Amino acid sequence: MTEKKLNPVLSWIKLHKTEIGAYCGLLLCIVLFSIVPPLKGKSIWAPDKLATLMSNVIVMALLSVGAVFVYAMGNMDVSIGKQVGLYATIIVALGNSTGSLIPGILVSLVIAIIIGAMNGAIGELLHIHPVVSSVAFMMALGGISTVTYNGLGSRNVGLTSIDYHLFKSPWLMLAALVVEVIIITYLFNYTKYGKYAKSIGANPVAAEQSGINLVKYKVISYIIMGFCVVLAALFQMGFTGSASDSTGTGFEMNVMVALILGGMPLNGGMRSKVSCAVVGSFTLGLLAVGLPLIGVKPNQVFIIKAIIFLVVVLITCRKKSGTLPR
Amino acid sequence: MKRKTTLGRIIGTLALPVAMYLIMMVLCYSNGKMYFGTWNMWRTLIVDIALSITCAMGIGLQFKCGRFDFSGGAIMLLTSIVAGNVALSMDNSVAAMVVLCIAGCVILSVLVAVFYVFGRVPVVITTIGFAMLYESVTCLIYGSRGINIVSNMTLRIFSTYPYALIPLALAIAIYAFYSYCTVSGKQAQLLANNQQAAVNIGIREKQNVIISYVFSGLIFGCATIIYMANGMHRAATTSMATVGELFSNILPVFIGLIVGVFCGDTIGTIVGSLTLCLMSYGLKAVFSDELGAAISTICMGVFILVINVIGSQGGNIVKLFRRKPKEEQGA
Amino acid sequence: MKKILALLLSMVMVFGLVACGAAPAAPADPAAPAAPADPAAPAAPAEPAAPTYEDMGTILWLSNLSGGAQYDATCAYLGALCEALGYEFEVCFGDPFNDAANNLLAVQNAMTDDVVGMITSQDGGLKDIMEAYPELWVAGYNCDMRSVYAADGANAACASNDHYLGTIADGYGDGFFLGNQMARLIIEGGYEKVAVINFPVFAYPNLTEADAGLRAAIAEYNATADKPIEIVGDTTTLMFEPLPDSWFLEAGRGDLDVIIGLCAGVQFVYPTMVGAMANGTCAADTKLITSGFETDPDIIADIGGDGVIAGLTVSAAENPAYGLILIDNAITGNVAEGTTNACVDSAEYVIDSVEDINNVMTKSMMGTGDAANAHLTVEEVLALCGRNNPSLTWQEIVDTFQAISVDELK
Repeated sequence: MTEKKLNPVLSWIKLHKTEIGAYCGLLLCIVLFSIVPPLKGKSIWAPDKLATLMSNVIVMALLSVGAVFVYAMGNMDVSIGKQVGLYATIIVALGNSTGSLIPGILVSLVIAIIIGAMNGAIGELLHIHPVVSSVAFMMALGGISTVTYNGLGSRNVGLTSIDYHLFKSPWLMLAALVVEVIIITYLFNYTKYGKYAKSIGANPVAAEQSGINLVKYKVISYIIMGFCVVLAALFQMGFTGSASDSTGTGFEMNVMVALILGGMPLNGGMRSKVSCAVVGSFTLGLLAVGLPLIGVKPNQVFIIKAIIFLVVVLITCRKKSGTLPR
Repeated sequence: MKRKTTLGRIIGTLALPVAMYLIMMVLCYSNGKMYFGTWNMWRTLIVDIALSITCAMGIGLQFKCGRFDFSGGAIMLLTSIVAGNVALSMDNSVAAMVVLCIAGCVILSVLVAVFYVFGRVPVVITTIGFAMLYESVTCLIYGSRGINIVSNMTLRIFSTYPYALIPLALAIAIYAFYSYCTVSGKQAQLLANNQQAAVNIGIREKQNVIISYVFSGLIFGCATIIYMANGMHRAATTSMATVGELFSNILPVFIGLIVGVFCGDTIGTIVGSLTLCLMSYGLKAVFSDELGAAISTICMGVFILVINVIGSQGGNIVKLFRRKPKEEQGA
Repeated sequence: MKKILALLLSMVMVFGLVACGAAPAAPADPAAPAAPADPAAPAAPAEPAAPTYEDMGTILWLSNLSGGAQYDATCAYLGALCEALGYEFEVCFGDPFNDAANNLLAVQNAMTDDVVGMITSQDGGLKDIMEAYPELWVAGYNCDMRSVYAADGANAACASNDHYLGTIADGYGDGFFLGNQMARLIIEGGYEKVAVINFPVFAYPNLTEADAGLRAAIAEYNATADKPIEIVGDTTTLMFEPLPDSWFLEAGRGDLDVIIGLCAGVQFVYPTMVGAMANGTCAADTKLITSGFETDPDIIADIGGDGVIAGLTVSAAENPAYGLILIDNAITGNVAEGTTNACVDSAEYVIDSVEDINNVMTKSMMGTGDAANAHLTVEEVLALCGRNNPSLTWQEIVDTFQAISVDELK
């Protein structure tokens, strides 16, 4: 009787080992940083530390949640970081000239649509490796940013007349993240956009032959991610009401690390989940905030993150048998 | 026909770098930079080209096998810091530097391969994880100082002409030897084309992967010899700071894949590196230093996209032009 | 199996981090109460107990460095000073590009309840940091805080914040005087053919001022000189990449007398110069006058005398003590008379001879990394603090720091 009762449990665990592994990483961080800092008279659950946690998490989480659509197709977009820098600059510049953030946001959305459409369409229509177009955008946007700031004669631009302190509110950050997660989850799990994105990631040939317009749904996926990038850029700008030529540097890799840590299969497919983005982002955020609390020196934080990353992926991403995973 | 075929191959191979050279020459001469194309230019450009080719081949060897290797930059950085500091402590021993560069890169690459093979974790994830790990180690050793041999002409010997050609030649020989002269290299091509079928016919995938990483480690070792000698290298204090090496050094590989139709991927990668180095050099010479680097980056991004489009759609473009004269004749 | 492994690893991590973590600070001993006066005897005023300065809190350094000789020296020095003053000392790495958002995030991640003061080497995000932590006392180190003092600066609000205590610049706060200093070195060296290399204006506007100051000083000299000094071409701007080898192929640059590196020339100009000399594209007797300090023995050996580096300006490694004194005075309520939150010029080592560099390497804190070799020892810094010397004025403190010189090492 006991064995029969255990089997469904064991088989459920086996079936969901990736998610369990990813959640284990997050739970481990929560347990660790709940136990150890109080021994040193500190607490990660203090209001200011929770606010810091949200500050660490928000931009990465907004980007990662949007990137789920693109990664579900087995693609990656390495121009995310430079896009964030560009949109933040546009929002600040137009904000200063018009007195409102709306024009900057609208212009950024238009540019995001264009870049998303090109990223999504070029690879499929012209039969080139999908990452090539995003590398080209990454380089082009990086160069444009440098030329722009050189022309401005300053390394950063800041809002002069608009109050941006609203964006520092951890409650607003949380609300924005929740709303985005709800919308993206709905689109990803309950509409054809998400289903087709997963299908394309699972088997693009079968998807095409079953009638899915690859170009159309790739473009839509990239555009959805583009909207999330604009939202992330808004909050990135809102930290300090400014943008600089280095805003967004390395964000694409942070997104990739967050998704992997959250259990997202990089080949995409049916196992892609929005929760991967949230779990991974919060795990990285907890490490960034919690490790200094337990006395880890700044130059030791990196190695601990790397070891935790390797341990978690060994548990969550391991392929049991067959050929080596690609 | 054979002469045409050979001639066609030669033209196809050299068209891109020659065209780039001519364009940059016109651009430079029209802006008063008359040193473009002189022996002095080539002497200084050779080192950049050598570094670009060796890095591209290290990354390209894995890319050919269907593996994106994000850890190359971190491997080079960590190895250069360790090898450089040890060589300095051994009274500027060039031999120690060379041996440590090659051995260090091989060991670090094999560690990646072992984790990939026995951990059975997807290669992109593995290489990202090891890039993070190796970068973090650079912050912990030698007081995060990195390595600085800029004034050490003994150890910097491989950043000067003609000594930079030695690791370059070695890297090319290793790449070509692995690709064309080893069973492992041939098997790697089979695995890249159809992994399951290759395993089914008896190819030992694990062994093949480890061997391929040994060879890419050797090539990265050659690249590190030039890389270390080519300036100061500080510890990586921002996460994934070295991944940029992948994205800048993979560009010649993309070009090599296209040009390789005429000459094979080995020469194709060399042609790609040469083309991009000429473009970068010319643009930086013409524009001010502030704008030169930025414009060079923009042009490089657009150029890569255009080249890839032409490469993948070249047949269609040719058909388009060929169709029109026939249609006119028909009319 | 995997679950057990994960559980074991997590327990090892927990116990390992608990074991390796720093022990909590010992609680301060309560001050002994003053003895009550004898009511029969004439009341003699009781001597107040000397204040004990323990558990003063933590001083945070927002660093623009993460390693190297200057970083090690600063950590050792500030660590010793903080210990003597009763503070803990922590470092957090600022953004390499001085990005405001990343600096704010770095401070937020490092911030704990016991952080009472911050010495910052970056001004990016300072306004937001001070808004987030209004009780935090802030002072600058090796940073001209241009964004604070400029009327339209991004952090101009900090200038009127009473918790912003001022800064000590990396050399001259006004770059024009740096240019004058470089011009003096050119004139004293007898150089006639000069080129200037700089960083971009958007990153280092003070260096553009320095360029203007240098050219103005040279022009003034040339008005009466028998042999005027020629500045070849326009100033070259480096985008944080080493000087390209092709620079020496341009007309007039192959036979320069001296290159003035307003940028960090040791890192960005010197390597290319050495390579160009080996290639023959740069004259073997071309010199470099620049700033920046490296402890590499081969670079050290190439400073002064017949070496390539004819002059090197380096800010005093004792500079961080200035900010610490201001913070301590504010915390203990012993603010020195005349204190302002202005940007103060710092003393510099001007190293232009073999003797100078040898003295720096063997006798200075910068060269040895030993706080005991500081121009201002721990005891001397304590004597500058208001808690020990309430009568000292702010100007006297500034004068002490500005008197530091490489000549003191002789």
